Amino acid sequence: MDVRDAVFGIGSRRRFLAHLARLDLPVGPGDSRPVTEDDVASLPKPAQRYMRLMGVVGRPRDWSFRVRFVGGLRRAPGKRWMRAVAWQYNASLSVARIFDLRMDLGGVLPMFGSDTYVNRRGRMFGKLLNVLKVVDGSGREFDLGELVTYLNDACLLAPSMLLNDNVNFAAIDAESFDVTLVDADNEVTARVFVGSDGRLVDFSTTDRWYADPHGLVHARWTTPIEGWITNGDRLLPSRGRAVWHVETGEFEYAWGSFEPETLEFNVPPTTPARSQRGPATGERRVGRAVLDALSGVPLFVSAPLIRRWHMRWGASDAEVSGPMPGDEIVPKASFNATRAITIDALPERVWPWIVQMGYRRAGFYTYALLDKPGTRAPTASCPSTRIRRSGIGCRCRRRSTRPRRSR
Amino acid sequence: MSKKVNETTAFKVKAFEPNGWLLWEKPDSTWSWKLVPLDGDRTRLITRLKQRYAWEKPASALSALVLLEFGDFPMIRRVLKGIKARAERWQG
Repeated sequence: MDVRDAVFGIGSRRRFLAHLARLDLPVGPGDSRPVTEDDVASLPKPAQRYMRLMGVVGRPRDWSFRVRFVGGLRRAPGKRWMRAVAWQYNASLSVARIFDLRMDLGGVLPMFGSDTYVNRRGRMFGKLLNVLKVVDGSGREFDLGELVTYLNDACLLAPSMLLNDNVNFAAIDAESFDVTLVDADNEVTARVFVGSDGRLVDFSTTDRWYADPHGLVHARWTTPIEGWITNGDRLLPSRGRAVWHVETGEFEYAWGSFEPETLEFNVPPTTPARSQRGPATGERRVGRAVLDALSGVPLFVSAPLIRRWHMRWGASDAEVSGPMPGDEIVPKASFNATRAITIDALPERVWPWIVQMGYRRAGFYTYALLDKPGTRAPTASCPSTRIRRSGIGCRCRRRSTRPRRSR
Repeated sequence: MSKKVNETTAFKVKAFEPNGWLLWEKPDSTWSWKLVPLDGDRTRLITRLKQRYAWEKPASALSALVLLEFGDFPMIRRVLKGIKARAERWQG
C-alpha cells in the first residue's frame, strides 16, 4: 500500500461509514436460513454447478457484505487508467448497494464518486475535490443500472443472496442461465456464463445505460472474470473487468479486484463499535487533526487551477459586482474574492460567530490543526459572550501556520 | 507570517454595524462581511477579501500570494460552512 493510499484510505473508509450512517439502512440481521439441497435442486443446471462450487448449500444465506475494491477506471477508450479505490456495502434486506469510490484525475485531483441503490432508487454521483459536482444521475436508467450492478455483485460474491423470492432463474443452455431480480417496479435480467468446472466466467446484461457525450445509450454490459481464488471456505473472483459493448466496439472501462482481507459477510451497515467511539483524546486527537488537515491538501494544491470558480464560491452575479464595506480602501486588489452562503438562521444568530473570529479568539472554525494545534479545546460550538464584544481597533489575526504553544 | 501580532499581520476591526456588517482591515487588505436578511428567517452571508500584493516588499507580497492563492479558498469554504452549521444548530 503506498503512502497516499494509507493516508486517504482512512479518510475514505470514514467517509463511507458516515455515508452509510446517513442512509439509515436496516441493521438486520436479514434472512439467514440455511440453504438446503431443495433450494438449489430446481435451478438450471449451470446455476446449480456454480452454487455448489461456491459452497452455498448447508450454509446460512448471506444477507449483506462489505468489501474494499481496488482497481482502475478510465473515461474513454485509449485514455490512461486512473487508480480507483472503493468501499461498498450490499444488503438483500430492502435491496441496497452503496459503492463509494475515490480516484485521482491525472493522478492529483481527487474525485469522489458514489453509486447507490437505496429504497428502489438508483443514483450516480461524482464530485471533483469533494466540492465540485460533476456527475449526478438519477431516474429510470439509474434505477435499473444500479440494481443490475447489485445483481452482478451478488452473483460474484454471495450467490446465496439470489435464493430469495424476488429472484427467478431461467435455463438457457449447458453453460449459461438467466437470472432476473425484481424489486418493486424495477426488474433487471442478466445472463450468467458458467464453465464446466462450475466457475462463473462472465455476466452480461442489457439493463444498463452507457453515458456517452450525447447522453445515455442503452448498451450491453459485461463483467468477464479472469480467475478465482480461495478465501477461507469461500471462493472469490481474483480479478474482473467491466466492458461496455457500444456501436464503436468494446470499451473496457474498469478492472479491479475485491480485497479478501476486507471482505465481511452478514454485517450491519455501520459497525457500532466504531460509531459509538467517544471523543478522541491525546495523541489520537492530534493524529486525527493531522489527517483532517492532510485531507485538505489536494484542495490547497489545486485551488489555483479552479481560481475563477472559487473566487466567487456560492455568490451570485449581483453579490460579486455589488458593493461591500471598505471596497474603496484597496481599489486595485490583486486578490479580490467574494463568497457567499445561505444560512437557515436569523442575522442576529449568525453575527456573534463572525464577531468572535480571530487570533486568541474562537479560532476560524476550520481545520482544527491550523486553528489550535494539539490543544484539547475543540473548535467553538457556542459563542462566548466574553469574546463577542467587538470594538473598533480590536486586533484579530488570520491564523498562523506555525504551531504555537498550547494554552 | 511572523509570529507576533503587529500592524502588518493583524486585521483590525475597522468598522461594523451589529447584525449588519463588519469590516476588517490591514495594510493592503480588507476583509468584509455582510449579513442580508432573507425571507423565512434566513440570512445571506457574504464575505469579500481584497488584497493588493505589495511587490515593493517582495517577501511579504510573495507570502501573501502563496497563502491566499493556495490557502484562502479551502479555509474560507470551511469558515462559511462552519458558521452556517453553528448558527443553524445554536438555539441560544
